[in-house]
Amino acid sequence: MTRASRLLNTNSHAKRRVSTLSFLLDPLALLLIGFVVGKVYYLALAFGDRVFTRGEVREGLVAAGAGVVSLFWVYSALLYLNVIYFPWPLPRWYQGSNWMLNSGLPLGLTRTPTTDVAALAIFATYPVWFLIGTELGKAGHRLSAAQRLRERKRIIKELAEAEFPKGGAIPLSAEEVGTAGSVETLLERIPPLFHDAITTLLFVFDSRFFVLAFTGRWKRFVDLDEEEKWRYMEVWEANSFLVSVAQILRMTFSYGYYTNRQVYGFFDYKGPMVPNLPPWFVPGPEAARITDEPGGPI
Amino acid sequence: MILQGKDAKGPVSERADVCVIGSGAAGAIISWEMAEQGHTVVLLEKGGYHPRQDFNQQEADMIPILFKNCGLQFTIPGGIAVAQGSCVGGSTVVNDAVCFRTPDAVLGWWQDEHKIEGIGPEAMKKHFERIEPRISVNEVQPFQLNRNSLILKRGCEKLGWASAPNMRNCKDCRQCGLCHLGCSYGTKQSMLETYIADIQSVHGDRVRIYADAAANKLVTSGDRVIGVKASVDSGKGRVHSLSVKADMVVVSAGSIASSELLLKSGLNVNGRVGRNVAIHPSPAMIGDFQEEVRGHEGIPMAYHCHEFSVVKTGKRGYMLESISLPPYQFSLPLPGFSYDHKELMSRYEHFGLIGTMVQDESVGRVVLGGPFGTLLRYELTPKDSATMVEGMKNAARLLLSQGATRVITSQKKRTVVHGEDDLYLIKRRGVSPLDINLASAHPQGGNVMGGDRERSVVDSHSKVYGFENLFVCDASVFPTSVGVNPQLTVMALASRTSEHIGENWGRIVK
Repeated sequence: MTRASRLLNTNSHAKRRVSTLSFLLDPLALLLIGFVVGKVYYLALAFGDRVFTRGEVREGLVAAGAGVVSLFWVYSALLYLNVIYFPWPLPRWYQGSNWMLNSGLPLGLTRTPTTDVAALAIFATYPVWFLIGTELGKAGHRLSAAQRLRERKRIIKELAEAEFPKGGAIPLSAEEVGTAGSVETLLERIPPLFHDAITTLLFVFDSRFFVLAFTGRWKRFVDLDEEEKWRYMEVWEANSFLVSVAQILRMTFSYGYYTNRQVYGFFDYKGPMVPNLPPWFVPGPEAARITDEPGGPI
Repeated sequence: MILQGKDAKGPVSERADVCVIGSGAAGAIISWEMAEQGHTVVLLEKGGYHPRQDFNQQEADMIPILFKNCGLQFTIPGGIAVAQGSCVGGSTVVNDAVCFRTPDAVLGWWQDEHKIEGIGPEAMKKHFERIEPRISVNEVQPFQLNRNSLILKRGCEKLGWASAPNMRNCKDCRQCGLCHLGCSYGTKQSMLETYIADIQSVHGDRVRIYADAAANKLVTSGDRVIGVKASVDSGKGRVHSLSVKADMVVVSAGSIASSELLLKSGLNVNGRVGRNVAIHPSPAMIGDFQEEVRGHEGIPMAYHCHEFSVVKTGKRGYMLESISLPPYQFSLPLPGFSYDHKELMSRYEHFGLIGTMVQDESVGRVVLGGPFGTLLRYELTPKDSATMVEGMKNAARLLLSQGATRVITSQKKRTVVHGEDDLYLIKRRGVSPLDINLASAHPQGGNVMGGDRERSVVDSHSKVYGFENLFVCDASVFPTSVGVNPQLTVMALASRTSEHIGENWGRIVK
């Protein structure tokens, strides 16, 4: 077979396969980046306009989309036109058009007028892939404030139960001592920025994105069964960076659990003494006159 | 007279000889001294006013109203929790009443290396002697040592390490163990119970105290500060402006907030404001004993070991201090989650706790973080990390020598030491803030004092370089970390600054 006929054969092959396999990676990459950007957008909104206004976040989203898609257009076009090689500027691995058409697979496609038209058509779809990604990532961003609060309540309740389950050395569960309610109260009392930051952490922890990455299940944390929740939490605890995030959440929930009088009972902590003197108080040499002083026991 | 946010009905304007920002260890004393000198004072406090009748000893209620940011203040990166009081009386209301005079070696560094005039041990002695009786500083008596403190005492005796009972500013202590939730009995002689109370009864006509009043900006004209713009939080989202015109301003808002105010006001003197912050990072070492320790019963911080500290060696090191905490705060440094964490907390009454307070190099920095607020950047240097590891090992040795069946570190990966052979784990698990839960209650530096105006923010007498009538006086002026609990040093500096202002009033306000 001559080189020309080989090319011809390859071209006919290309005509059959170009619409399904060429430019394989760009749409997927745009979808994924779009998803992450959409997720960031959603989480930024959880800050409730205190750090960035909703308008600023939206402008950021548009700017990120325009930037990412433009970058893909320019880089991919330069590859396709063989102006640069792949993965420029790193050491050469593939010829530019070869990479764009074959995506590293042994497809044997080469550039022809037909593939040029197909390339243009696929380039035109790039913004759509990014858009689909962002829409997937920001699913739920149109929730009203009340709906978002309900969702947060649900996450707090489920996470409290996972942190302080029934049984163990202190048998009381989070539900039995109202941990979730105390955490809700705490969130209303702390400074707005911390309120928003912890809210964001809760949504991040609950995100399908992380659950998928760590457990392989496309589910929110609140929808996992008990064993899956354990498996998911163990991943957070095992990672030296994520464990810090997990500890912030644990500390927040500890506030709701270890300030409860019923829990005190399990380790015999006497708790607040006022208005009485502590039961173990041992009067010292000067203590006899204490009660006569202004500001004595209250 | 203390005016609270809820009393404010609209914008307020004030005129006074002196405006003091912050009512803690320094601000309260300076306000008193200024009033004593015959000046009118407006004292601004960002936190609320809570008399001791409000202190119900409940963690859930007290932490949100007495601590800055409800206790949520962290360094970046790493998230070391930095606790500071935010209420009338400042951190003196929520600390454990421990009083150390500034170690002579530290005063020597400040005098010789930082070229600060008149700050040597002899010069400072009179200020300590002036303050100590006023806040009833006295030594913890043997009968007041609880079992947690006795573990430290007996351990030091066994190992031959230098140690001593703490000096505390407390009068007839009820030993309820809840000092850092505010003293319900009024026996801790915090600023709230001493200088603020005295100001109200003796100089109520000269000093107006505003609680819930946050200073936002210092107003300047040339080399003079002419006033302070503040806002009063009246609750439920209502905020009123407060404008204070004053002949002199003293910023005593604490290490982080004082730097923040200067930066927000565009007064980054020599580009040094906010730099050289130290925090005394402290890991917790928890010994598990067969018998009950009940560390929360009695004085929480009553004893210390200074064998490895600047107090004895004259070099940077660490102090071992007995400390106990109520359940929620105790649960924070414990490692683990869920059943593991419950298992540890179920041993609460059997735990003895020793804090390892590291005298760190001053490498932190306060920066304005735009929409994210004011940030404290801080990292442990390799030298501080090594010191911390050494301190943790010695704390473990001490606990084991007293019969602890295991020692649990506050490292995030559960680290349990059963004997000398396990001590290597402490270094292996790491002590970077990502590896360990660290706490700090002593932020210092940020507006360092020094004779060299290129390297410092304030001069030898706390006057801000480049301004005639602006002073900063609190822990932010420390040129280095002090190595001991800092409240008495702050108070003595306040006394010293007040004396200087009194002697130079005519020149300052000309």
